[in-house]
Amino acid sequence: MIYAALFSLSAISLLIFIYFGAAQEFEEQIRERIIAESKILLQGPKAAEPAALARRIEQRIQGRGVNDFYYALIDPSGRRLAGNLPEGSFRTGWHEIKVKEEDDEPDEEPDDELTTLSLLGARVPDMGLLVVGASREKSEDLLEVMLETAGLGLVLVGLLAVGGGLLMSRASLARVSKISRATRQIMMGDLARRLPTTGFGDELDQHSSNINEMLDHIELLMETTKQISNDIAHDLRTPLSRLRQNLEGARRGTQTVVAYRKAFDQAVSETEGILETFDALLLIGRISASTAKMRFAEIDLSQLLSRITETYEPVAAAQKHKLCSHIVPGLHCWGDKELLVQMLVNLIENAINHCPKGSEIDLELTLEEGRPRIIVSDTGLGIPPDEHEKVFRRFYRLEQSRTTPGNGIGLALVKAIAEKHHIEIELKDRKPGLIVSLRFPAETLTAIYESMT
Amino acid sequence: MRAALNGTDYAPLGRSNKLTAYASVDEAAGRYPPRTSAAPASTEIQTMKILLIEDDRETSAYLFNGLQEEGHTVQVVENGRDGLILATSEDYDVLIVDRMLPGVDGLSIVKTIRGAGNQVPVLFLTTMNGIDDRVEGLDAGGDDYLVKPFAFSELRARVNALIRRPSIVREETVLQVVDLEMDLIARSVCRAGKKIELGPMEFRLLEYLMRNKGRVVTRTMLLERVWEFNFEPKTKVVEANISRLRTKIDKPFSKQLLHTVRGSGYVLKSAGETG
Repeated sequence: MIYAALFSLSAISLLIFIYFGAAQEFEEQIRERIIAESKILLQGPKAAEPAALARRIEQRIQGRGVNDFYYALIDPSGRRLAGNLPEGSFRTGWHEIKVKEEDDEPDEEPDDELTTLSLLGARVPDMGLLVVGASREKSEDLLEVMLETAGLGLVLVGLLAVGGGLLMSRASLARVSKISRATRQIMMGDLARRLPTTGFGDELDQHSSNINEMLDHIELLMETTKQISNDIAHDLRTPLSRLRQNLEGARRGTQTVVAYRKAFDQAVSETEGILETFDALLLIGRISASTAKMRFAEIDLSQLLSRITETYEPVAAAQKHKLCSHIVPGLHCWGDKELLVQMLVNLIENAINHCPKGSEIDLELTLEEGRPRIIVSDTGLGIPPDEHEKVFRRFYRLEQSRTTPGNGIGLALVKAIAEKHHIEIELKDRKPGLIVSLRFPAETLTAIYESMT
Repeated sequence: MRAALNGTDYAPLGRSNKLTAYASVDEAAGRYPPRTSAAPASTEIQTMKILLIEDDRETSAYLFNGLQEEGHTVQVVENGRDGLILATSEDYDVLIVDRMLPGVDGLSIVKTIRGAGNQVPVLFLTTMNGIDDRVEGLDAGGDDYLVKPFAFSELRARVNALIRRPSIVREETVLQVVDLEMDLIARSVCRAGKKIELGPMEFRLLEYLMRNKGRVVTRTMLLERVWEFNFEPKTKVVEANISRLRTKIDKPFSKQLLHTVRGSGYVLKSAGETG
């Protein structure tokens, strides 16, 4: 509505401007003509003689067309010497009188409408007053037409503006009410619903798109949470039941302090495992949900891996494994040091624990197409290709490892950390054995991430 | 990180059923005479005055008994406000503060104390094991952070490590334990004049042990301080690396310096040393 009013106002002021501009222009033209005519008259031969001038004026009147000039020559005493102007008071300078209209069409009824004449009075020395005038009828007619059309146009525009405004606000309101309906439905639990967008790309659409993205994220979070709850319910029951069984058994069974001690030890270590699993689950959840305030910084990847290698060398040796490393120095990445360490340690420990004694474990850090790449590979039992996807699931254990200690959380944590760091993780068959490839984002991208965090 | 529990060192809870909170100094010293516990770590302990701010009765009983048995004087309060009053009005050697307290919370207490210029060592106890929680605790002015549940030996070792000793205040460039010398500037190690080659992580490990000479350091402390692992590894990282360090600094020599303390951790000292 406001827009319609504003628009109409500006249109009106524009029209006023044009009208007066045109009127002024017309008047200018008329005056130019009058001046020219006056000059011509006064420049002729024998112009100094009133009679000659009078004669010339009469001549002109004779050959006069419609809406041509009007004249009056008045001697100093006030007597009209010549002219076709009606009676009236004339003076020097610009002035005007009203006369009857002369119509263009001869067969038109002459009406009683009056039009204005612009008059220029010039005092001629020894001759009196020469008045030359011209009709404004034509320009008046034109202006009238202009006004009429403008007026009509304005009315149309006004109607359009009001009508359009009404339509648009109705459409807007309709959109808004659609959106609030959808929001209410979402709040009542229909998480899959999204806000409607019209495709116009205007602000309302943009807001709706943003909110829809948020809803996508929320849906994902809720799914993750549901999954975690399910996983916990399902797979943590087992060790908890085991724990209970052991304690029950101890209670019912032997009475010696040594036996009790042993039962306690077992219970404690079982509990330890459960607590660890909880911690890992929580950590995965927090990483995936981005609620953990990541401490991202520039990290010397080469130094990190070297230190881990040095640390795990004796650990591998204890299992008769051979740990080899090939690390290109000076490679950096952008990430959270603690999480990266945890991820790499997870992979190395997996290799150490699940390979038969005497296997070979290789750690590599290279630069490939501007991207750092870490490879952890071993000559152990490997992972069957059809399980490459599944092993990253929480609590997933391979058949061959079901009897070894572990809770199946390790690789899920690795995947969560890799995703947070935009690292491409890939499993390949080493035949025999496993190759885990970690491709970090290009070193040039670190600057972009820097600006994002 | 949560220190691993082990089955061998639970404080004997059967000893006292009632929690004697607000025990006065004399009362406490009289009731539980100092006794040598299973861990020989007590050779390094000087009796300390400890303020324990903990609202969970089980935990505070557990700690009170354990620490008193070590020969320390322990005062227990159950809420933050009383804790703050005591901490600012009396002198303690160590504060053990639970993060979650009724009234004023643990973090605020320590922040206030630090704000007043008090540099008393503070150990936080908490059930929260997030990275952020840990950093928050240390930022607030805490010196160490222990996640429940924990084994008593873990707490004992960390409390001992927190004691400020005058000798530690000055900057050292050379660390020494008997005939084992570490030059911190040159980054070199030798024993009985013979140079020992160590990798960067081995050096870090030995440095930490030497800085804490005579004190028991637990596995968890080593994992956190030397390797900066804030998680529990699934392999015997500490054992394997200690073992390797031993072959370099102990095996070729007659006197053993790096000892394993069953149920607690490791200590670098000369056997039979008392101080």
